[in-house]
Amino acid sequence: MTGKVCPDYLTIQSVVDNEEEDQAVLEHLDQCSACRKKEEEIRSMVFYANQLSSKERLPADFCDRLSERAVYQPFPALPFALALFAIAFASVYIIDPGYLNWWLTVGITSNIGLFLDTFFELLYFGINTEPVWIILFLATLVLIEVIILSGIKRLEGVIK
Amino acid sequence: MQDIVKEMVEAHGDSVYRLALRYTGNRNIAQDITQETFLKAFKRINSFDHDKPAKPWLLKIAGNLCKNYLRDNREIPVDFIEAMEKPDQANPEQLYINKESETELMRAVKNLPDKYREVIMLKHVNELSYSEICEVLGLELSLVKNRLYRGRLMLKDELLKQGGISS
Repeated sequence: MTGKVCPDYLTIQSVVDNEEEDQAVLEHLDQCSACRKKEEEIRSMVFYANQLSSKERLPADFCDRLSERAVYQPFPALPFALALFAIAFASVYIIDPGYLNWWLTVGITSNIGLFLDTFFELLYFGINTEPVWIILFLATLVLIEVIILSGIKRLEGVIK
Repeated sequence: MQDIVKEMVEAHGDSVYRLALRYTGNRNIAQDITQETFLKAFKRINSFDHDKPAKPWLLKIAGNLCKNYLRDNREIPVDFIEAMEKPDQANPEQLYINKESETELMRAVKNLPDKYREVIMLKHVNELSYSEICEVLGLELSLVKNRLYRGRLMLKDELLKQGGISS
């Protein structure tokens, strides 16, 4: 920046906000009346915007009230996993006990490694996610499985 | 509550509260939003980079909560807006004048487009530097400067149009 070139509004605004320390700009503002006028306009805008500032403070008991709500609750991974497996088992058994054997030997169990990996990743993900989303997602998976198995059972009945 | 969150409340609680108060105009709602902000911070403390300053991170959470609040409560009644505590506030008459100006100010702020309002709030309510505003909003410096300039201009025009605050 040379002393002859007028800075733009954004540069002058940076000076007003104490964000610009370029000596050439500061010197230019001292010398150029047109730029000083721009500076005054910006200072006026800043005056109006400064009405937004306040000295409000949080109530003294805020931290205590927050502490009451912020109780650490670890995600109940084990009971949650057991419950899901129990639901899956029960749902398959109720449809047809025979399918339980199928499910354990050739069905989803054939890809059990993949499912377990996914399951544990979801549990890990659950630490930073609302548990309700995880439960909904896994419950949907169980529901899909139940629907598929019901469909197979119906189809088998038709074939017989 | 983890000590680090407690430290955050002590260091930045008032700043988060002032932002929420400016967005909502109501102390009870602002306190609820401030609580929610720190509860979210508490939950996500493992994902927070401890080498970085906490203030922009907290203000980002608070800003999002405030925007959600405004989206869900588009019509904030005028009676709902409370006068803020200013350094020069001295007597009931002054309090009344403040309340009047607060209403005008809230209206003017509300009429600003969101992208200008958020920059103005961070600069004038939370007194953040340009680089901190860039960090909170994930914007380039030139864009922040531009929005700040245009936002200030719009705010001044709005206030002059309403005649609520005299210079």
